[in-house]
Amino acid sequence: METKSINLADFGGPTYIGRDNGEAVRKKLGLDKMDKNNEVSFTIEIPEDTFNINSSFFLGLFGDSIRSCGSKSAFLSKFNFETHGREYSIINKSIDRALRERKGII
Amino acid sequence: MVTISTFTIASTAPLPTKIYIEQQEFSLRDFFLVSTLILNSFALILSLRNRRKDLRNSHIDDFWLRKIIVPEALKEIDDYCIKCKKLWRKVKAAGCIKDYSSTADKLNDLTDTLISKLSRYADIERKSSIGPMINTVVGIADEFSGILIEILHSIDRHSSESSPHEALTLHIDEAIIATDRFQKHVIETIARHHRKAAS
Repeated sequence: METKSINLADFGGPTYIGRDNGEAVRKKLGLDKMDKNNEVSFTIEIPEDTFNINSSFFLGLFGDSIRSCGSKSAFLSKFNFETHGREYSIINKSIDRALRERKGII
Repeated sequence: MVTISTFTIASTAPLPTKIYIEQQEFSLRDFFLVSTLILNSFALILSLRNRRKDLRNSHIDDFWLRKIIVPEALKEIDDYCIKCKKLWRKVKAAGCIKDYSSTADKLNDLTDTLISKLSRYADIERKSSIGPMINTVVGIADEFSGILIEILHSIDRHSSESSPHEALTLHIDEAIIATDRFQKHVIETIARHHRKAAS
C-alpha cells in the first residue's frame, strides 16, 4: 500500500478555518479520486505552529472521505494524523459529525 | 271556347335509397386520443390530490416551524451567544489569555454543541422545508466560528506588542459585536425563511 504525505502547512495556516478553505484544499489534493483508491493511505501532518483547526475546515477537507470510508476506524486507518503530540478533539468530533451528516441529518 | 288544362300529377314517391354510414374503425390515432384523455384526467386528479396533501403538509410544517423549531432554535442560539460573550468578558476581565489553544477549543466546542443541537431538528424534519433552514443556520454558525478563531488569533498576534491589553480589549469588543451581528443574522435568516414558507 502506498502512503502519501500531506502537510497542511503547504495550504496556509496557522489557522485552518472555514468549509470553503477546507474544500479548496481537498480539490487541490484531488481527494475525490483518492477516496476510491483503496491502495493509498495518507499521513496528514498538522504543523506544530497550528493555531487552530475548526470543524468546518476539517469537514470541508475530509467530510467526503469520512463518508466514503463509512466508519471512524476505516477513516483513521486510511488517514493517519501527525499532530506533534497535541490533541485535536476536533478530529474525533468532526468524524462523528460527518458520519451523522451521511445519515441525512443535514 | 273552353280550354281544359290538364295537369299530370307525377308520382314523386321516393325511391328506395340505401344510406351508407361509413363505419370508421378504431384507429391507432383514436386509441392515443382516448389514452391521452384518460391520462390527463388522472393527472388532474393526482395533481388535485397532491395539492391538498401539500397544503396539509405545509400547515404541519408551519405549525412545527412557528411553535416548536423556531422558538427552540432561537433559544439555543441565544444561549450560545450568551456563553460566547461570557467567555470573552471573562478573558477581558482577566486581561490576558493564558492558553490560546484551550480558549479556541472552548469556542469551537460551543459552536459544535450548537450545531449538534440544531442538527437534531433537521434530523426530525429532514423531509420538510425546515431541514434547509437549519442547514443555512448551521452554515452561518460554521462561518461565525471561523470569525471568532480569527479574532482570537489576532489577539495572540498582538500579545507581543507594546500595548497588548489595549489590543485585547479592542478585539474582545470586536468579538462581542460580531456575536451580536451573528445573532441578528440568524434571526433574519429564520424570519426570511418563515416568510417564504408562509407565502
